[in-house]
Amino acid sequence: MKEPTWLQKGLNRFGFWGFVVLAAFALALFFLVYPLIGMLSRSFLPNEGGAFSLKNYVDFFRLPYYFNTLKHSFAVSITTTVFAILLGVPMGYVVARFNIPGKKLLNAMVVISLLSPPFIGAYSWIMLLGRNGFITNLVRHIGIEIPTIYGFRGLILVFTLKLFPFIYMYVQGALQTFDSSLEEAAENLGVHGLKKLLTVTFPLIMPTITAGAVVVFMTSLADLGTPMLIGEGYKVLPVLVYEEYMSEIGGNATMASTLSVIIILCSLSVLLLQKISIGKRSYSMSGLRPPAVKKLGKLPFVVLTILCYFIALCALAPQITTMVTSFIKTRGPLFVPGFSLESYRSVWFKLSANIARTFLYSTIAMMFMILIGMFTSYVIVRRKSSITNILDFVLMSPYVIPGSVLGIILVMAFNKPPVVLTGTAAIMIISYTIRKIPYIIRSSTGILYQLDLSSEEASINLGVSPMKTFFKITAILMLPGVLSGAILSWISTINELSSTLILYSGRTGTISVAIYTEIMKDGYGTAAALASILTFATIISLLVFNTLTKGKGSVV
Amino acid sequence: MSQPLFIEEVTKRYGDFTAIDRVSISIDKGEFFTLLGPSGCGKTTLLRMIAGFNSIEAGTIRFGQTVINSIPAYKRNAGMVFQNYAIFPHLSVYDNVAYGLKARGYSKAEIEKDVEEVLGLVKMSEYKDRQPSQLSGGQQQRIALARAIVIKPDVLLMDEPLSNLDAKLRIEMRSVIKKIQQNLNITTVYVTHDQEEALAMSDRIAVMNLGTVQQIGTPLQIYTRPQNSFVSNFIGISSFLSCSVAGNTVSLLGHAFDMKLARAYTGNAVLAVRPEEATLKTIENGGVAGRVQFATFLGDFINYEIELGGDCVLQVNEYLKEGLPIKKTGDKVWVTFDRKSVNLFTADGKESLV
Amino acid sequence: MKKAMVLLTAMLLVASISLFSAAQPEAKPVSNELTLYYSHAADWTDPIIKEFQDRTGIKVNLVGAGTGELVSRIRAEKDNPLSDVLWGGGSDSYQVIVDLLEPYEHAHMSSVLPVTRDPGNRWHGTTIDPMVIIYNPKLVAAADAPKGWADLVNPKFKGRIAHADPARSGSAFMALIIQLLSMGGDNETGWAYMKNFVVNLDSKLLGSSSGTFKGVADGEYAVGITYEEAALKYERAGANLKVVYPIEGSSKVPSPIAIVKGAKNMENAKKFVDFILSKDVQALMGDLNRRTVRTDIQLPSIMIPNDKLGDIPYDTVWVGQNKDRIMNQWKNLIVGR
Repeated sequence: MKEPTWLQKGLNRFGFWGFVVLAAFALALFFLVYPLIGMLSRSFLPNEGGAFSLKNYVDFFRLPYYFNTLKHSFAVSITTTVFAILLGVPMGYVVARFNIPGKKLLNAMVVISLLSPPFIGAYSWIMLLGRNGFITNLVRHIGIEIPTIYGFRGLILVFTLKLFPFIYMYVQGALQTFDSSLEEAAENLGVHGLKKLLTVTFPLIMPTITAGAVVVFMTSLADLGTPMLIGEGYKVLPVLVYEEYMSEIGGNATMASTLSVIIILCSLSVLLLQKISIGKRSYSMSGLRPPAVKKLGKLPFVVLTILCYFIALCALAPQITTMVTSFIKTRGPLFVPGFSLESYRSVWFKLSANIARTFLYSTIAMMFMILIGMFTSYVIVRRKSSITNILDFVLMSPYVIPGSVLGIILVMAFNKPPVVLTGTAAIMIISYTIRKIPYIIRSSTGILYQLDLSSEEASINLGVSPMKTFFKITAILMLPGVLSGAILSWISTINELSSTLILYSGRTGTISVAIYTEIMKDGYGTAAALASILTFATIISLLVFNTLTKGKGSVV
Repeated sequence: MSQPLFIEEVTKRYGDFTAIDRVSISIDKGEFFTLLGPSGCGKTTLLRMIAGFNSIEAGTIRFGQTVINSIPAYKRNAGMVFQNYAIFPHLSVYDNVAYGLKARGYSKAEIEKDVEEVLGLVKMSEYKDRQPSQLSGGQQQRIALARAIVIKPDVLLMDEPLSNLDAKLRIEMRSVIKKIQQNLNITTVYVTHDQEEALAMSDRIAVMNLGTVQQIGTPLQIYTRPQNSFVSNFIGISSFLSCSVAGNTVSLLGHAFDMKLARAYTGNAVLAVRPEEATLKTIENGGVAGRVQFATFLGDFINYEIELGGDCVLQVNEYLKEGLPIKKTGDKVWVTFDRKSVNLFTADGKESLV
Repeated sequence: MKKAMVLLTAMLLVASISLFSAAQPEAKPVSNELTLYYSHAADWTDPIIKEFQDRTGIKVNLVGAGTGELVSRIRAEKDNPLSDVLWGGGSDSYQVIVDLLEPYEHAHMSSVLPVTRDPGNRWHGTTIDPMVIIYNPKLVAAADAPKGWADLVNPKFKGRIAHADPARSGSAFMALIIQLLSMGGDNETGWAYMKNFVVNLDSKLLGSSSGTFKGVADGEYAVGITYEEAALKYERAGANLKVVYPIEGSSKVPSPIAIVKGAKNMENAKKFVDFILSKDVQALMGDLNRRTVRTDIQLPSIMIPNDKLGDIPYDTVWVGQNKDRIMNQWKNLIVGR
C-alpha cells in the first residue's frame, strides 16, 4: 500500500470529517446564527437606552394595526391551503387514476407554473383582472363588472393557483406508488367507490397531503412580492416587516426585528403542528403493483379532461400572459394594439446587467450549495452524532425564515465595520445560499439514505481509506442527485425576490428586482419581457433537470 | 497472502445487548469455514468484526501472528464479497476489479495482468469492458468475487453471497466458488443461513445461535453427531421424542432398548431421530406402536408422519426403490430405531449423551 | 475519482474567488458609471436618462423606489455610499439628510428660481410639484366635490380617499405637511385635524403615489391626494378625474436632485445634475405636466400660475428638523397608539 502523504496523515489524525463539521459550524455561526441572535436581541431593545423590554411585543399584541396583520396572514395562508387542497387533491387523483390524455403535457404545464415566482402571478392577474385588466374590460362591454382583484381576494387567487401544484404533484406521486392490493382488499370486503376513497385511499396518502399543505402554508405566509403588488391595503406580516424596516433603517430596526421573530415563530409552530399530527404515522407502501389506470365513460372523460386542462391553463396563465404582453407595443403604461420587440429592446438597453447578474449570482450560489450540501449531508447521514444532529438542525433552520427577514438580519449584521457586506453581490449570494441550503441538505441526505452502504464498505475493504472512498465512490454516486436538487434551487434562486428586495443596490440588482420596480413604475411591457426571460430560463433548466434524472426526478 | 484466522474469546456489545458472547474459532490456512445459523444469530456481525466494520469489545482476532483489532478496515486486507455484490455502478467491470489494485499502487502492467487472470478464473473475460448495469445477478456475483480475490487477501470473507440468486444459479455458483477457493487455497469465512449450502461447500462449519457457537465440526460430524438439540434441529430434520434413561437403557413409550452412551446418566432425555434413522413395519415386531397421520409423496421417497402416542410425532422417510408397501393415513405401524445413528440429549437439549 | 476531486476543488476555488471579489466595495477611481436613486415614474424619466447616456456615454445604474426608501438607504449607507445622485420626492426629504449631500454649484445657477434650491447648494429643485386634490366626477358630483383639505375629513368620503403612505412616498409626506400647516399648524388644532383625517382614511394607505391617481380614475376611490403632474396628465388624457387646487393653499415645494456626499462617481454626478437643469431638459417639463424651475421658460396655460398656489409658509429647514418627530406622531395616529 502507498505510504500516505503528510497531508493525508494530518487530515486522518484530525479527521477530515471533523474538519468538515467544524467548517460547517463556523460558516453557519457567522452567517446565520450571529445575525439571528442580533435580530432576537434587537427585538427586546425598543428604546434608545438599550434597556431590555417587552414593549415591542406588547405593542404587537395590543395594537390592532399590528395584530390585525397577524390575523390577515393566517387568514390568507389558511384559506389558500384549504383551496389548494380542494383543487390539488381531486385533480391529482383524476390525473393519476384515469386516462386523461396528455398527462406529460399537463404535468409540464403545472411544473412550469410551480417554478415561477408568485409575484409574477400577481402582476399577470392584475393585467387580466385588475381595474383596467384585459378580461375586466372585455366583460365590461357585456355589462359584467368584475369585483376588485386587489386585497384579500387577489392574494387568495394568486396563491392558490400558484401553490396548488405542490399538493397536486405530491398526491400524484403518492397515488402512483400506492399498493393497489390495499384497495382491492377493500373491494373484496364490499367497500367501493367514494366510501373506499374516504376510508382507505385518502387516509393512506394523508401524510403526503399534509406535507404538501405545510409547504403551501409556509410559502404563502412568507411571500413578500405578491402582497406588495396586489395586497394594496390588506397588510400581511411580510409587508409589515418590510415597511417597518424601511422606516426604521439607519437607526435600529427594533420593531422590524420583533415582527421577524413573530413570523418565524408562526412558521415554526406550523411545522411542529404537522410533526405532531403525523407523528409516527408514516405509511410506507411497497408499491409492488401500482394501480392500473381506469378508463372513463364518454361524458366524464370529456368533462374531466376539459376541467383539468382549464385548471392547468389558469395556473399557467401568468406565464402565458407575460409572454404575450412582452410582445405588445406599449406607450408608457398603456398597451396599444400591435406587436413589437420594443419591450425587449428596452430591457436590453436598461437592464442587460441585471440579467447577467441574476444568472451569475445564482450559479455561484449553486456551486456553494453543492459543495456544502454534499459534505455536510455526508456527515449528517454517515457520521451521525449529537453534534451532527445539531448541525442538521441549524442548517435546516432557514426553512422557517422568510426571505425578507433573512435579508433584514443580514443587513443589520453586516452593515458596519469590521465586516461590511451591504450593497455587495456577496451578501446576496450568501442570502441565496442560506435560503436554499435546507432543500439541498434534504435532497442530498435523501440520496445518501438510498445509496447502499455496501458500495462504500466494498471500497474500504479493498484498501481505500474512508476519506478517499468518499471522493472516489460516494460523491460520484451522489452527484447526479445532488446536481438535480441544485438545479431546482438554481431555478428558484433566479426567481427570488423577497430577500433581494432588501439586499440589492444599484450595482447588484437582479431580474426580479427589475420586474418589481418596472411594475411599480408602470413599465408593464418591460416587466413582461423580463418575466418571459425568467420563464424561458426556467424551462431550459427543467429540460436539463429531466435529462439528469432520466425523467424520473421529482420537482417537489 | 492466505493466513490462518484466530478468533479468541471475542465479544461484541451494543449498549446492554451482547450480540457476540466470547466466541473462539480457529481456522486453518486455506480452509473453507462456514458460519451457519438462523437470522439474528450473530454470524454476519462476527464476519463484519473480522472485516473491521464492527468494533470488537473484548477478545482478539488474529490473521496469522498479527492482531488486527486496532487496524482500520481499509488496511486489513480481508477481501469481502457482499450479499448484494456492491459492484460500483459507475465503473466498468475492468475498473471494478482493478479498484483494489490501483489503491495498492500496482503498476498499470501488473494490474492488467492480474485482472485478466482473475477474470479468466471466474470466466468473465469477455465482459471486461461492460458496465455493471448490463450484467445479470450471477455475473455480478462473479465480478464481486474476482474483485475480492485479485488483491490476494489474507482472508476471504463472504456474506451470504448466493442468497439473492435463484435456486438453479445458486447451485451452479456453489461449485464455482468452491473450486476457485480450493484452487487458490485462500482462507475463507463464509456466512449463510442455508444449511444445505453449508454442508455442501464447507471444510468445517460453526453453527451459531444467539451470539454463541453451538458446535464446530465437519459437515459430517455436525450432521451425524450434533452436540445439542439446537444443532440437531437446525441441520436436516429431526423428530424429538421424550424418553427416560437409566444406565444404558432408554425407555420410550413403554418400550426399552439399549444404547451406547458417552457417560452415565439417569433421568429424562430426548431422543433425536432423523427420518432415515427409523424403520416402519406393518407387522408387530417389538417396536414402538404408532399410527400413520400423513403420507406425503415427494418423488423418490415418501415422508410419513407417525403418531406414536403421548404427543410424540415421528417423521420417517421410505425410499421407493426399497419396494416397500405404501401406507395410508390411519394405518397401524411399528417403529424401530437405528440405535447407532440416533442421537440422545438431556431433557433440556443442551448436552449430547452419545 | 481524481477528476471529481479536481472538479470539486475547481468549483470551490471559483466560488470563493467570486465571493471575495463580490465582497469588495467598489474602489474604482475613474469610471464611466453613475448610480442613480430615483423615485420618479419611469415613463418620462427613462427617455431623459437615455439621452444623458447617449450624449455622455456614461452608463446609468438605476435603483427605483419610493423617496422614503431611498432616503433610508442613503442614511444606512452613509459609511459607504453606494449611490451618486438622488432624484425625486420633495425637498423636505432631502433636508432630513442634508448633511449627507454634497454641495454643488451647477452650471445654470443664474437661470433657476433661487427659492427652489437649498441655500447651501446641497439640493437643487428640478421642478415644482404642488400637491392637489382629485376626484372622480362619475362618483362625486361637482357640487359635492372637495374644495380643500378641510373637506377631506367629511364622513361621506370615509374609506374612499386615495392617499399614499407618507413613510414611503415623498409627495404624500409633502401633502401631510401642507395639510398640517394649513389646518392649524404644528399644534393641537392641526393634529386634531390630522387625527380626523387618519380616521377618514379608514386604514387605506397605498404603497406608492402612482396608486392614487390610478385609483381615483379607475373608480376604486372617490377622491384622492396626488401630485399635479399625474393629475393633469390623466385629466388631459380624458380619464375620469378632475383636479382641485385646495383653497387653503398648496405647496410650492420643489422636487430636487442632489449629489450624495462621498459619491464614487462625483464627476459624472455633477454632469447629470447639470443635464437635468439644462434648458433642453427643463423645456420638456411643460409637456410633462411639470412646473419648470427655470426663469426663462413659460408655464403651460393649463396650470395655475405659481403665485396663485397660496402662500403657506413652507420652511424646508424646519421641516427637515422636525420630519422624524412628525412622522412618529403620524405613525402613532395610524397605529392607534
